[in-house]
Amino acid sequence: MSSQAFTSVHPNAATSDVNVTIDTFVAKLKRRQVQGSYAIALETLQLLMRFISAARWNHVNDLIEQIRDLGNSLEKAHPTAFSCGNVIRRILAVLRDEVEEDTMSTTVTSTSVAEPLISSMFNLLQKPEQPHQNRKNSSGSSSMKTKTDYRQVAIQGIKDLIDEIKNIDEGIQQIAIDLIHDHEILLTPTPDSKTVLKFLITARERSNRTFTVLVTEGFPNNTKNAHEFAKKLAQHNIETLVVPDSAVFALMSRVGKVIIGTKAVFVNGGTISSNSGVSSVCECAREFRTPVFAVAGLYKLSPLYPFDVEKFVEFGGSQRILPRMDPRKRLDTVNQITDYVPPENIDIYITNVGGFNPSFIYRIAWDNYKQIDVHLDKNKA
Amino acid sequence: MSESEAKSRSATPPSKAKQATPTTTAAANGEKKLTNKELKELKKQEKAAKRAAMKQANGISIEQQQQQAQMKKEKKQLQREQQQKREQKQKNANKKKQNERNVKKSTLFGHLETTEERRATILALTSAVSSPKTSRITAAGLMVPVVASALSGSNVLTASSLMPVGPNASSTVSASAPASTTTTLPASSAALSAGTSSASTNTPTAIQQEIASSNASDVAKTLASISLEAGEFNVIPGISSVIPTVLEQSFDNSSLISSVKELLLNKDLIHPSILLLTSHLAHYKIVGSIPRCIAMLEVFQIVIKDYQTPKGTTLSRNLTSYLSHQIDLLKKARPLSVTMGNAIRWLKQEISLIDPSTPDKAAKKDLCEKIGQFAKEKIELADQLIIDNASTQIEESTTIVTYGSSKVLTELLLHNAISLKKNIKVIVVDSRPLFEGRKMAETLRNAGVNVMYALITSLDTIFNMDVDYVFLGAHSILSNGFLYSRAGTAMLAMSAKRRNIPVLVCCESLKFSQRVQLDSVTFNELADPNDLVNIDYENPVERRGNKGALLNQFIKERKFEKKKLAMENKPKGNKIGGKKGSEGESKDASNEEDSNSKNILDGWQELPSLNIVNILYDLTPPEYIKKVITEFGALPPSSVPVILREYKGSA
Repeated sequence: MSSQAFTSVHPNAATSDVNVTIDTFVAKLKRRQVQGSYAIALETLQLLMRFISAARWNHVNDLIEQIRDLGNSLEKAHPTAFSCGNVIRRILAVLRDEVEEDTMSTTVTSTSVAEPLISSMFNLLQKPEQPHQNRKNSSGSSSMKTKTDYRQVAIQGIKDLIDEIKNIDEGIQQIAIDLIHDHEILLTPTPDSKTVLKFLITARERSNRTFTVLVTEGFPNNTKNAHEFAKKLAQHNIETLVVPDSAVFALMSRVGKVIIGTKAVFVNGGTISSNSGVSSVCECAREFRTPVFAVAGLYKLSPLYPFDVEKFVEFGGSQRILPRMDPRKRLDTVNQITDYVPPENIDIYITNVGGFNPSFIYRIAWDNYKQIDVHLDKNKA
Repeated sequence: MSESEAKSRSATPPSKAKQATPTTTAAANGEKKLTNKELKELKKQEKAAKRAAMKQANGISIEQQQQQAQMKKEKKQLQREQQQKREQKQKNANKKKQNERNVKKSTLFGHLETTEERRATILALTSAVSSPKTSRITAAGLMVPVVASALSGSNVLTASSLMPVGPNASSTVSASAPASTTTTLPASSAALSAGTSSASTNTPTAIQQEIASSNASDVAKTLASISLEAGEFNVIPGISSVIPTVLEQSFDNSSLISSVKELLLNKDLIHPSILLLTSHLAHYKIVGSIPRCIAMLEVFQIVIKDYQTPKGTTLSRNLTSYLSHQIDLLKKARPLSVTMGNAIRWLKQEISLIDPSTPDKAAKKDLCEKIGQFAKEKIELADQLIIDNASTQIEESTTIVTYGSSKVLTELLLHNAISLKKNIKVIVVDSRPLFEGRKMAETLRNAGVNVMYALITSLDTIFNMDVDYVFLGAHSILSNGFLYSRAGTAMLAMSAKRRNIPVLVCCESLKFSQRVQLDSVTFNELADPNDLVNIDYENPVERRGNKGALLNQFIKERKFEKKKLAMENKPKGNKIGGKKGSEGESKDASNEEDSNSKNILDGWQELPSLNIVNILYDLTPPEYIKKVITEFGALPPSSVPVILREYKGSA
């Protein structure tokens, strides 16, 4: 419907190009062709920049609604790609902040214009009408300036967010590097995390600390990534041990810290990891009083609350677990791809803006998002 | 020099001739003008000629001296270069050895025996103890061009070894004990002669022998001498060329060498069925504490039947030491399980109770019957009682989670699902690399039980289903109540405990152990780290069935020899060495490409920082366990020492 409205209102080439790009990206998301929070976030921002550049609106609220519709369609295409919705909510927050600033300045102007002789009752009655009258009285050139300003604000916000996402590792390393002491043994059950890999390599090269890393395999979905991860660490002269998933409890008594990467961080402080088995490892770490710290960029912070955890966990095919079997004697099986780690099993979050307790994550969320945009769907708003 | 002298001599006559002609003209002019001037000029010319001759002589000597000096410098440079190369070779050898040692043992489990050490020991023993037919088959695959040249000298070997063969044959007719002592002496002399002949014919083997350490060479000589006794002289060069390399690489530990020597001295006492069992245990074809115990007891029955008491001793005294030799070899395959240890202790006690006056045949028959009865009581009847005790815990429509594979649990679940017709659902949790749970899942599925199969990484999803019980098998239960079982058991028990799901352990009293342990790292068993290199869901035991340890070792040796040959060819010439080096690099690049396409961690030993840890067992604390169900009833884990103390007499 939104695309039809676009074509009926503004049937020009730019709009159709943007629609084609949106449809292509939606198809990619549905087919899981874009992998990883980092890639999804950057591609979403690129798409959003083109969308806002080509958008037409009469009032800034129309622009906000159009962006919400776009975010809603992207979220429905890939419900568990949380970074997609997160970056759209960040831009919406920037726009709403700008609107609030304009509203404040307008109110000040109207107050100064009001005559002192009017009574308070009449003043209350006349207040909502005055901005409208001012808009009608204003000329076309001023409205064009307003549109240009909002577009520039949005595009600048997108560029700032892209820069922030690309420099995530620098911020995390400065904070988290002091958490590792010399000759410590670390365990990481998320070897597919680029943040963890860069963090460990930088800790070795920059601060020249000698530590041992135990890498769990995460069979069957993540074993290849684990082996590549271990090989890279070993090539950087980091002492590395590849460990099967079953050996975690046996070795946890020797582990000093557990470091995990994340796919999404929820407002309650829980996290979704991009491979399975992480929840058991964190539970085991809690049993042994081993601290667990999660490294995550701010763009992975999601304002959703995981009331229904099973909805966020993904499952894959059984061909990775069992070979082909006699159809009459098949075995049921489960191939879990992602894992939910509750906040009580995580000790600290390291983000590019600082380290936080899981119980404080909600505050960071409301610093970056607006309550009204938590659910982009109109039915839930 | 002679040429230069000839040239200088030929140069002088034309100068003299040229000088003669102006003198005649000058003389004619002088006669006309002044006589005194003529005399002065003649004197000057004579002096110049003398000086030229002197200069020429000096020049030649200077050139000679310079050449001699250059020759000396060149010689010195060559010597220095040779010394540097030798030093580099030694450094490289030391680095290789250090890398090998570092790679084998990680920091956490450096105190445990690795699979490679065990395999090297078994390889050495089986190659020495194996029968002539077996050695012939194994040696057929070891024919190398290096050994083929040695075969041309087989006449010399046979001629030299014919002399000691006579006394060996005659000595074997006599008693076995003196035979072992007498055969060692002539065999060692034959080994020396064989070594010298092989050294004369093959330069590379000589270099290998020189490089090997003194201890390794001693063991190698002993092995070569023992292979001579097999009577297959054509096979000797093949075996002797492989074994020293294995010893050089693997036996860097003196305790290993001493234990191998002791086993070699007692090689005649080893029973062939023990060798077969050793092979099965080492390759994980028999897995599980109860199956291993049963297999061992069956082999002991065969050994006791074939046993003959030497003269001068009684069965009750000699049989115990005889069995100890068999047990020493079994320990080399894998560390003994607790069930095996308990059974051995019981058997030795029974042997010591035999009356010396009893005839051997009756005593042996009685022992075999007692072994059968022991296996029946401690394993079969105990399992039946455990099943009866545990069945009372299982209600209608129960969901049960189990881990890995366990014989008792399989029978328990089948009994409840088929015989008692309870509608139960079983979730079998499994993990890599052995994938033992799949057999259990397939067995239950074939019997019609409702089975779900999952890996340990999906533990969250499993416990979100409505699970009622977790049933676990055991390798052993320690005296302080800790459960020593397959790696991954502890994590499952911990997760169940946190969700208030009761954890029940089914364990025979034969698995109870007097030992105490607090964590999983101080004592454990390391499996083969190479099992984690492949990424698939196949059992490595099935995958490894097509390849033998000897073949893998042979492949390593061939690569090692190629590297040595490349190193030897390099110092001959700079250009030739450079070309060969480039060829080697291209070959290495192609090999790397192949390995990359196959597995990511192929060649992981070459990275000094990278290790793979593959432990078999972990330790579950007793607070995670609700009950231990044994044939004496259900009891808490803290009551294990009570069972050990009170029922020790009946055991």
